[in-house]
Amino acid sequence: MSGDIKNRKEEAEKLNRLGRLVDKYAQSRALGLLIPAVILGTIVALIIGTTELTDWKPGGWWAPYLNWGTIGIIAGLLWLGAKLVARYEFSFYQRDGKIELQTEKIPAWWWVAFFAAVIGSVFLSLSEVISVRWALALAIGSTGVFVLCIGKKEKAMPVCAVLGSLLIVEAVVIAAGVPIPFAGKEWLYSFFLTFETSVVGAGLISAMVVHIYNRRILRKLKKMRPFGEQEPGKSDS
Amino acid sequence: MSKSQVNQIHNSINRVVHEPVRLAILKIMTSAKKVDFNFLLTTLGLTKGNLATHINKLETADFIEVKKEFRGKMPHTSYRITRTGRRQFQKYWENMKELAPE
Repeated sequence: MSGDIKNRKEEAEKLNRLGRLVDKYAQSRALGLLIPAVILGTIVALIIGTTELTDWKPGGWWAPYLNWGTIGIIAGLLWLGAKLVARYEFSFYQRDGKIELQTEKIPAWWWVAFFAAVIGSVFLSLSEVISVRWALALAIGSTGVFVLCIGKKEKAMPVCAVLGSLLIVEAVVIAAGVPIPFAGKEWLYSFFLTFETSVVGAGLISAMVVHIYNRRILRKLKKMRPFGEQEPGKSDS
Repeated sequence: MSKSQVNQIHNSINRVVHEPVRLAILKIMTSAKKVDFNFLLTTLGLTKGNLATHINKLETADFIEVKKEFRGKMPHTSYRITRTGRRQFQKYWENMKELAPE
C-alpha cells in the first residue's frame, strides 16, 4: 500500500505541475490585445489627420462638422472595439482551443481611483497647477498601476505585469524630461495623443512579448505530456 | 493512522476521480469557467477517442456539464465542472492528503 501511496504522491506532484503550466498558458494568451491596440492606433491616426486638416485650412465652414464627425467616429470605433474584443478575443487561439478563466470582480473603488487619477491629472493640468508633462506622467503611471492591480483578478497576470510595468517605466521616463512626441500642439492633442500612443505602444510590445512566452509554455506543456504522446488507434484502457 | 482508518479512506476514494487523466481534466476545469474539447486535447496530448471516453465518464458521473452548440456550420463543444464535480475533486485531495501527509 505504501508503494501505491508513493506513486499517487508522485502523480499528484506531476498533476500540480501540469495544473500550474496550464494556468500560466491560459493566462498568457495576449494576442486579443491587438484588437484594442489597432482601434486606439486608428483613433490616434484619425485625431492627427483631423488636426492637420484643421491646421492646413483654419476657419473653414466644415471645421465644426469635421470635429463632431471625428468625435462620432471615435465613439463608434470604441464601441466596435468592445464588440470585436468580446467576439474575437479567443479566435487567435482557435487551433489550441478555448478556455474561459474564472475571473474575479474588480472592486468599484479601483475603477473610481483609476478614473479619478487620470481625470484629476487632466484637470490639474488644464487649471495650470501642473504641466502637461506631469499630467501625462501621472495619467500613464496610474494606468500602469491599475493594469498591474487587475492582473490577478482578471486572470491575465503575464500580460498585465508586462503592460503595467512598461507604462510605469514610460511614466518615469516622461517625468524625467524626455521630449513629448506631440508637444507644441494644442493641449488636448499633446496630452491625449501622447497618452494613447504610449498605451498603444506598450500594448503592442506586451502582446508580442507575452505571446512568445505563451508559445514557450505550450512547448513545455507538449514536452511534459503527463500521459505520454498518444497515437490514434491505440487502446485507451 | 490505524490500518482500518487507512482502509476506510481508501474505500471512500471516488474511483471516477481517481484515474489520472480524469483527475487532470478536473484539475484544469476547477480554475476555468468553460473549457472546450480542443483546449483539453492541446494541453493533455490525448487522442480524441481517449479524451472523449474520459469526458463521457465524467459526464455520466455528473461531474461535468457538456454544452454543444453550432458556430456557423461548425459544431462546438464546451465543458464546465459541476458543483458535485468540484466537491468530489476537493474531497479526493483531502483524502489523499490524509493518506500521505507531507
